[in-house]
Amino acid sequence: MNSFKNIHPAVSFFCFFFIIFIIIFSFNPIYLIIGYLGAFLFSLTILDKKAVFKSLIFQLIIFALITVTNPLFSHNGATILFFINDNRITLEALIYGAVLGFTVTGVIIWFKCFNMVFDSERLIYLFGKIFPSLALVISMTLRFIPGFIRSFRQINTASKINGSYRLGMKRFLNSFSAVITDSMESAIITSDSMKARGYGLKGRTFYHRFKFNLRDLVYLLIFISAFIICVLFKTEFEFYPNFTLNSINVIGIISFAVLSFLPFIIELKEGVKWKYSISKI
Amino acid sequence: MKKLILFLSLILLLSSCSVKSVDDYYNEKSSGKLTAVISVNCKTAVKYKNSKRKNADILNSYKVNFNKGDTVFTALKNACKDNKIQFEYTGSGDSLYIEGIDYLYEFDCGEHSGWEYRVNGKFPSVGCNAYKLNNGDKIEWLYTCDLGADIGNRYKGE
Amino acid sequence: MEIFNIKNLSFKYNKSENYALKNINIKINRGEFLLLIGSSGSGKTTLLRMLKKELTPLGEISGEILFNGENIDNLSDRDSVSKIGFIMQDPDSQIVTDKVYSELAFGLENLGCKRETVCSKVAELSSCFGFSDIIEKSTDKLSGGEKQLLNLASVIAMNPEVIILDEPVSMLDPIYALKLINMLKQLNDDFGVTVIVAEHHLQEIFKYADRVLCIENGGIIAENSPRDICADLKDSIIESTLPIPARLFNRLKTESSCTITVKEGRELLSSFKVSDNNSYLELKHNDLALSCKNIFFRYEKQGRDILKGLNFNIKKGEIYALMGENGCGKSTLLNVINGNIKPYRGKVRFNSRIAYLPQNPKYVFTKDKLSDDLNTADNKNLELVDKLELNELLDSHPYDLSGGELQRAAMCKILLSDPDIILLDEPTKGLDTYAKDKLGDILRTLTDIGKTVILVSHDVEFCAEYSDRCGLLFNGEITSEGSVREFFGGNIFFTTAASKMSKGIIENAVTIEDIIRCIDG
Repeated sequence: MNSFKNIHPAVSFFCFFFIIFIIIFSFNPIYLIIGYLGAFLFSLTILDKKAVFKSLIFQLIIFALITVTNPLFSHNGATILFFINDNRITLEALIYGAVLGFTVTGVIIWFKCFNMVFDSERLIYLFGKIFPSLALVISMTLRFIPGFIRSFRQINTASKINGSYRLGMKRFLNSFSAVITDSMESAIITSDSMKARGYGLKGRTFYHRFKFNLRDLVYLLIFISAFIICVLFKTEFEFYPNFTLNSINVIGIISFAVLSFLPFIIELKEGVKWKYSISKI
Repeated sequence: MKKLILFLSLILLLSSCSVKSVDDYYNEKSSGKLTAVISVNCKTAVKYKNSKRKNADILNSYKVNFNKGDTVFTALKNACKDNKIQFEYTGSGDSLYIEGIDYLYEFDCGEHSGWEYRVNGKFPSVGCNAYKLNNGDKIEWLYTCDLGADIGNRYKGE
Repeated sequence: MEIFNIKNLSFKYNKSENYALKNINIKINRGEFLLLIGSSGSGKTTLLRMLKKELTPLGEISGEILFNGENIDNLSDRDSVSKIGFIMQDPDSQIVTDKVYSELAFGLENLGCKRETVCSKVAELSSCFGFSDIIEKSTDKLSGGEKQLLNLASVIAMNPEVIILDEPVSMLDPIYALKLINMLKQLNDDFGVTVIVAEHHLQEIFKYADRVLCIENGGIIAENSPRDICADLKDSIIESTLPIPARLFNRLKTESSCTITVKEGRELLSSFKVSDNNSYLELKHNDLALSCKNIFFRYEKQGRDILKGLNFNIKKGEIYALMGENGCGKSTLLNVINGNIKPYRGKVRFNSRIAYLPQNPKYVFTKDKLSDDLNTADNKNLELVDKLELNELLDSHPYDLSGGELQRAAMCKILLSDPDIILLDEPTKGLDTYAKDKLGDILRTLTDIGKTVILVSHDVEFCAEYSDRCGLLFNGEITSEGSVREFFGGNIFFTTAASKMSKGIIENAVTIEDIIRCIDG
């Protein structure tokens, strides 16, 4: 039912890229609030609610930390709250810190969504389109790591239980060198298996399971135009010496809202459709 | 044990901070037996294209008090405190560096802009917290948009 | 017409003095199911690798190999890759990529197939092999059996004329071994794929073979149909690997043709007069060595219980075999006993030293030389090395040892600490019959001097032969337990071939020896 996932990876990648790009470089509280809300609603639909709130606590801590830290190091701003060691602590610096913190949390939550949507298959597809040999390397690495960890655990357990090494560190090093030998050993078999199945022949193709259809094209056009409008019609703020709104641009704000709420809307629409079709059954 | 150390160092850090309210800070007047004359000027920034800055004279020949052994930085600090002017510095000791005065910061007027100082008409080659003042010195803080070239301190390279 | 024609093939490895293959002549027919048997190190693997030029080892080759009438060296790379499929023993290391679908596609990508072709091939294969549920899974999450089936499927994807398999089922549990063998049979019957397979575990595969080839010391010592080769191999060292009914046949004095299936074995037995002379001397062990009380364990907080209320008593000096299907928690129980993981309820009680041999015996070695690992500088250790016949291997790297040697060396290593209880996780995995018997003898000597052995295994025949008591772990509990004869005699499906053959004819006979004793008497 995960329908944002059904969008072609190149398209959804652009969506994430545009949103995160604007969040990082706009430094604009209005955009940040919109972007965060979009990500929050989207993450509620694709992530476990418990995980969302757990991450929310983490984000709050990060946000608070950055907000409080900035005025300690930046003493610009006209609205003085108090002095610490003869340095002014200002409201403007606090606001600046809050915006900075909000940028970071916005990027965190969007990356969380990105991680959910972009599993290894999509990631490999994207890289594979650009560098075909890299795709295989990623795939092989993803295959290698869990096995490596498991072998290490087994070797470590075996030497722990059989009491060869009392010292944890020495055991760790010995197990590590053993697991390296072990993985080199199995790498020989893997390379045999690759050779036997024709790796190295000329004209290797790249298999993937994605199709680019009309719907993807429509979404791609929406994302690109929304991004361009956002960049052209800026809303500008000034933080120092006084926090002022220089220009407000409703068109830019609306197009950014479209960009950052679309993932959620697509997800929601599909959910409603699904419920409707169930009720018909 | 780790937590205890962390807690103690936090207490130590907090106790080393002196927190003052705005009124408290500006009510204490700077003192000192010696005096110098200090000016802060940014006419280059006023002329800079698209600049929003209107007045070039931030401080005009203000007579500031200081003690023996104080530096140009102390004089600036005292003068700013007396006149409620914002300023910001970074670093400490000889490498202390003035980032901005009266909300005008380095790089605000291009990548070659920033604050430089002159004592009795000469640009010293040391940091402002390394230059010891004498009684009656004339200090000028000048904003440059071109590495000092526009205020008569052409950058000679390494 | 023959698909392979091997003429006067001899081969010597670069660093070796002796010939690994000596003057081999074989014709393999198109569509044939050829079984290669022989003890470890006899040259089976070398011969198989000679047939696939990408895997041909370095060395001195003489003679020639013709594939479809053409010298194999002249075969184009592309043809060699697609027409000759090769599957190795280790299910895990052969897998290249991280996902099941990408593994299936790997060979086709290499051959430069178009995306649409690969798509339809992947779909076809996954429905044929029943992969639909696991197609998006990580290959890492598959069981050993699933991995080996995947290896087979990804070779079949390239539509080979012949598939060569080097001990494909020796690392698998019986259920997947049977699945894989049946798959081979189907490929051979329905699609005419030529199958060349080397294997030690012959119980299931033997009857499917059109021809059996026995290799010893690099030469062919016997070549015949499965039924007739049994007689040829009588009294040779390879006889012990033959299926149980065939071995029984060789022991009985009869004129009929050789029996290779359980059904034939049963018919043969019923033609004999049997005496009910089966009183077995069963050793009684009384002192408790280890007890588990009401053990509960799960891996994840929200997960299901792997062990639930398990109770378990082991007597001093016995060999206890713990059996059960894959994933039933056998290995988990061993890890609970050895203290590696803690149960969330219940207690394990013992007051002696424990040693633990993991499923992969090479995991106990951490040094580059066996003598370093076994610490042979100590004379006390040398005695043990001597007992386990490891003297000649001391200078080798542990990873260079054969399966049986490695198992013995690992046993030696864990025995150095002089443990009282020895835990073994699937000790017979990947071993040939000869090595298994040797392991069994070692275990017997250990219990004779008062040590206790707990082993987890799928190997019904080994457990029947060497253990004192057996238990079946199911659904987190030990559901049935008893002495070997109570246990296997009572089971109808989960039992040895000898027990299946003699059911209804001889009571509680679980090994060939049990049967022979009743017949001779």
